[in-house]
Amino acid sequence: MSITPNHNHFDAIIVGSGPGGGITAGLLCDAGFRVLVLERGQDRTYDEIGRDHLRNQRISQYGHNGGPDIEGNPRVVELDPRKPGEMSVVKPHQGGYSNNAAIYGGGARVYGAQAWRFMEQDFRMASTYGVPEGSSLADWPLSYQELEPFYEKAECEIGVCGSAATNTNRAWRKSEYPMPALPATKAHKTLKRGAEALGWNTFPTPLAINSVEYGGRAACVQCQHCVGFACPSDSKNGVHNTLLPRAIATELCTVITGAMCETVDTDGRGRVTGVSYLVESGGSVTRHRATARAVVVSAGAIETARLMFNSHTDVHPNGLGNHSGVLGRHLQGHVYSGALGLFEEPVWDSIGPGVSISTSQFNHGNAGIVGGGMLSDEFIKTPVIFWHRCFPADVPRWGLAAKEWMRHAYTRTIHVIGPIQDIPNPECRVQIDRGVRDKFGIPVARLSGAVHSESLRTGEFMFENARTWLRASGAVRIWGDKPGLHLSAGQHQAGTCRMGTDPATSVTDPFGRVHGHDNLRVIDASTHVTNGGFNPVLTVMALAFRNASALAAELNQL
Amino acid sequence: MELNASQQRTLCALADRIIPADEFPSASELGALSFATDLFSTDLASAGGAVVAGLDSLHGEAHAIGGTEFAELTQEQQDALIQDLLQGNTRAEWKTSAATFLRLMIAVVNEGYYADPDNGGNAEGVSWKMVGFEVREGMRLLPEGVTV
Ligand SMILES: Cc1cc2nc3c(=O)[nH]c(=O)nc-3n(C[C@H](O)[C@H](O)[C@H](O)COP(=O)(O)OP(=O)(O)OC[C@H]3O[C@@H](n4cnc5c(N)ncnc54)[C@H](O)[C@@H]3O)c2cc1C
Repeated sequence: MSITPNHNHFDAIIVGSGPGGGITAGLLCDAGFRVLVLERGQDRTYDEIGRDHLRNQRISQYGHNGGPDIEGNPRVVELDPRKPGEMSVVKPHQGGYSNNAAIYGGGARVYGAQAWRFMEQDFRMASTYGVPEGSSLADWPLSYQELEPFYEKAECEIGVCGSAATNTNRAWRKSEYPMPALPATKAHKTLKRGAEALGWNTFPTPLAINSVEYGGRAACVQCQHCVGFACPSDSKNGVHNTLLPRAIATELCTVITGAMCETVDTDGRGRVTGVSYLVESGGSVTRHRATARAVVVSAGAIETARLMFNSHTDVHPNGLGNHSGVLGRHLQGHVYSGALGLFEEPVWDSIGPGVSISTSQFNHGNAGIVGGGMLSDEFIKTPVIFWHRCFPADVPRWGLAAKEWMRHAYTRTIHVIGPIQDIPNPECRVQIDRGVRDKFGIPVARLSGAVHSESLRTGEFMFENARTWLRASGAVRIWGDKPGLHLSAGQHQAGTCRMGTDPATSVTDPFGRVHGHDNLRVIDASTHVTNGGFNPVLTVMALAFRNASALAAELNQL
Repeated sequence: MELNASQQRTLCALADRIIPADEFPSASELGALSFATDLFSTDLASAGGAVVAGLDSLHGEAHAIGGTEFAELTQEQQDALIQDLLQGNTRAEWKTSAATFLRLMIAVVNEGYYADPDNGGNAEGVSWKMVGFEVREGMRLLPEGVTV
């Protein structure tokens, strides 16, 4: 898609078309504003995204299907946290890059669509647990109470299915999900029996997937290629099939794909005036400028921080929003912890997306643990993922024994896993590396740091819980590894433009307004103070509904 | 990656010890040779030279233990040799580590065998049928309480 603007002044410019940017575009256009959306990725069709089992956003052996291009977009990363300062240049599909996606619709174009609300305690982690040494655990500057109506809006406008009634360990909510849960799979029923024996509450995993026809689009066809791929029936809900088409339908929204924002531009006093961006077409690169009353940065937690650093001027030599040196710090995602179990009889019925049952039994209230985590069964694994990631250490990886294991175990294995509440620390951070440039000559992101020891402790705790669940459900063999020391960011990246009321410890205010820049907003996962013990996207969406509504209400005055 | 006839025989024989035939096809029967040569000419071109050299060294190993090429050894000899090399015991000359070469080949052959047929190493999706991974589309279960 490339709709060339015939004018270059807008009410607002939004950088990035992911959940944060897409929702902002929809709400600003609803309010009658003229909006420019710049997206560095391409608008790819279902067929273009394809079903390559070696090159997708779930397993990226030799490339991927959701961007960015593997050439010309490097990052500089500290691959081994035990060797601080030892940096490597990596490509987007390689380990350590912490990729999400760069495509029209952002990560949600190819995501798994688990659509979780955080719990009340997730917004006040420091008050609930205290601040572990070396961590930057803090409360959010807003409560669940304030976000609840926007969670509901996100669930209705994006489209989420689930069953709140059956979840006894959740935050209060005003209404049920707008769609019933997807049906229970064989693995779901197996795990439910185990959980019942343990006295654990389980419920169907909430998903931004149409379980029935919704929003003018069909119900899920239960295929086997959900996470990491696009949806064959357009039943997986992101912003590319909800808020963005709604924005475009108003004729107030200009979207330019393949447009890389280089800087957010400011005048001599620091007021934001617009953006500079680059478009590559037919081998040549053209540079453009657009102006606006307000700029919204929604580039994802790593690229948002990178853009803010790269927008430095004489007045803001360390980057925009970096008045206190907080920009890029507290980078966090989710440490994942879980285990695999082998069952005597097949537990697989090939019904997608695969993830079907969850428990929030251990998200909070665990003696001696700071926070906790959620557990679910896993998305359907492609056979090649099973070969790479699901062998017990003592099963040979070649020869007849390996082939027999694939044949026996593929349909008899359940993987129970989930994100744990990361305990942020300031040393996990995004900086820019002036010595390494992308294909446009722009300094790239530099990632360093490692998860806090409390996150690993929670990881061990959840590893044991996963094993207990599998054992109680009848697994005859259980295996897997506890999480080790690493930088947690990746697809659930968050936290790099922490919001808060005190400019000394935050980048934005509680509405994503960058301190000191009234007309510059950050609306994406960057503002998360903590990232919950749940997949983050519904919280990104709810915050976007809240903060974009606030922007719409004051945009005329900016 | 260009392979001469002898290197091709070595690659096929190695692939078929990594995934041997039983009631389901071996790796080479599902396309391992063309999958691997394509991959080492494109996405893994940087490893192509090392792979060619590794196949030659494997040939050298076979000569050292059996006086013949790898493909002519018995299956037991082939397996024992692979095992030995994975443990770092070598007789012939290796430009890069024998274990690293074999680990790479094990990964690549399995990737071809279990990936989608369009990648070239899983003709007609036979390995998917073997493990039970079905690609079906069209809703099969309705949500609780929903009728059509
Ligand atoms: C395979 C996969 C599975 C996932 N599964 C789940 C799940 O089940 N549940 C869940 O909660 N989350 C899931 N996620 C994570 C989820 O997609 C992210 O949390 C979400 O997309 C974050 O939204 P965002 O708006 O912060 O940023 P993004 O979605 O990253 O959007 C940012 C956009 O900005 C663009 N951009 C960046 N820099 C520039 C620039 N300088 N100029 C122009 N454009 C730019 C990028 O190309 C990108 O499209 C998954 C992600 C992936 C990839």
